[in-house]
Amino acid sequence: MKSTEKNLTILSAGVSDLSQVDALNLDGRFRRASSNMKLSFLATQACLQDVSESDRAKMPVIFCSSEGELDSTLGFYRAFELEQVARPILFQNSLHHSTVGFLMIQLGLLGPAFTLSQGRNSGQAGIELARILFSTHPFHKILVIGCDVFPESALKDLGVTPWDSGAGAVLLANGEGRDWIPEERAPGYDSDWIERLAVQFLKEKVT
Amino acid sequence: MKKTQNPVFVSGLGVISCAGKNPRELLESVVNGKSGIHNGVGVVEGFGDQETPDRVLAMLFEVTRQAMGQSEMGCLTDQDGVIVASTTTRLGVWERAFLDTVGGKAGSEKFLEYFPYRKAGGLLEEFQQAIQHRGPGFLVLSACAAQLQGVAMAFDWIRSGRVNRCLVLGVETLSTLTQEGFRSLQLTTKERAKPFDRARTGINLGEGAAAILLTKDSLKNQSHSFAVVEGVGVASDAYHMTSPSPGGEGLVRAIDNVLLESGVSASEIPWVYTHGTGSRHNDLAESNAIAARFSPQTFVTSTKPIHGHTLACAGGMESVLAMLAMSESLVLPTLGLQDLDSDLPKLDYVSKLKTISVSRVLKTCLGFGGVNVAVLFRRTP
Repeated sequence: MKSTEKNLTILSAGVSDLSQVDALNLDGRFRRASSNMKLSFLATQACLQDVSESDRAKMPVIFCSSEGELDSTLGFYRAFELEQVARPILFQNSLHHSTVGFLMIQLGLLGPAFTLSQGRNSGQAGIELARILFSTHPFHKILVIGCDVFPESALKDLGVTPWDSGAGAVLLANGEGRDWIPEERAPGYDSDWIERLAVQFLKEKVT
Repeated sequence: MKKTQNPVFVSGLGVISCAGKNPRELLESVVNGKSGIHNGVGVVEGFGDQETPDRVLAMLFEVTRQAMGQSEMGCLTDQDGVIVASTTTRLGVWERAFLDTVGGKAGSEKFLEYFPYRKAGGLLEEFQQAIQHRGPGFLVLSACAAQLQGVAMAFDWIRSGRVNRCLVLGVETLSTLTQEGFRSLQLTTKERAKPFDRARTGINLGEGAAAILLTKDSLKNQSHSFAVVEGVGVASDAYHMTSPSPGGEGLVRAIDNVLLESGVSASEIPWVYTHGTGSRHNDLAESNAIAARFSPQTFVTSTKPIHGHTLACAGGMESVLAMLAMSESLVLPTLGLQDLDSDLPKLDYVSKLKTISVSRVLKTCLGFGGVNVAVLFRRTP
């Protein structure tokens, strides 16, 4: 059954996958960044190419993730148990909100930042919050990001069924929009609703 | 010019903390200077230990019972919303299983049994199922500002007409990750926290839960109301992952949004109930932000030496105290504040309980990732 996102205006979109993150490893800004941060940065940067500094200073950012910074959390535990060391960078990165905090710093975003986590409904929850904010504040644009990562190195050999990793971002505008049917595909990762919307937008833009 | 918009009322409050198992008990602890902090942390007794799977849910049920009981408006319907705020949700349940598995003390079976608890969203789902709530919900994980941000979201949600009421819950329990993590950042202290004091040495982590029931204007006659929410503001620092910008610029922007939205001037707000963690950076940034907009006569309070820093739940717990105190003509003190840090800007840092009627209180919260939230509450007759 097709799901529809009703009456939505998408201005721009970006997507990213793990094959792209290695390119960031030589950039000092990403030295301490998690995979979630790198993936989300790539998707968001693509989405914000034409957004002015004044819009960046006001625009709300809604970050949606089901698993959050699980890789950093498990990394913290491994170091703590095996080396008896509590690593501060892994701790600060373990917080769900750290992903969007990193994006705000790197992309000069000063508006409200929200982190939501609602399993497979994470992306839809982000869109719903954007609708609420549009209806009660004079915001012109709102950025919604979805990202999840499977922490392969931490979970290998533990019998966990892997899930996909990826990120998507859509820049929404206030006002009358149209109905969107996100790209149809097999379930990828819990917050992939945003990436599927982004992919559909980018496909239509090309055609 | 004041904006004309339908006000949002607060019609129910609930709290569990290390210093009181309901709002009244906690207020009495603050008034009497009775701290629940021992050995640098505030532990809630009576809900099992950290690894009890239902402990977080049990705390949520209890504060829900308190808040809904006060509102006298019946159960939540599908026209009402629920927001749950936390940083760790049920981390304490599954982290031990992972540590034991990694350390070779247990096989992966134990880990796999507990691993499903890692998903934060499962908490909201289970809570809604347990109270048979079929309406919409959000789970907010915006660091230590999460529950106050939840209040801001609920304010907007009700004003948007999408829900009639919204129950905003916050919950936080201690875990190895939070205790060792904050220690690794050299932010915690074994002594009692002393916000704004020259001799402050760090923060005390605490655990607990809080509930705030918000109600739309047209339902106000069906229930007692504790306060009116007049305006909200959320803004980001984009400065550092774990430290606020020293000038508090992000919080200033959040405060400006509150003033703009409410149409209330800073001179009409006599009291700011701060995040006031007792860390060097927080207290300086927050005080600078307040001083940038408020007069030196503005009352400034932190009650974290009583109940600890309950992370995501802090903004909710302290809002409950702020509203109760305001309704009883009290301005609460900062326990242990003896020697004011001279680096802080001039404000009236309250060190002794004041019996004085105040009409408004601004609650502020700051969090990792540079999140800042401010919410303005007005006393109701």
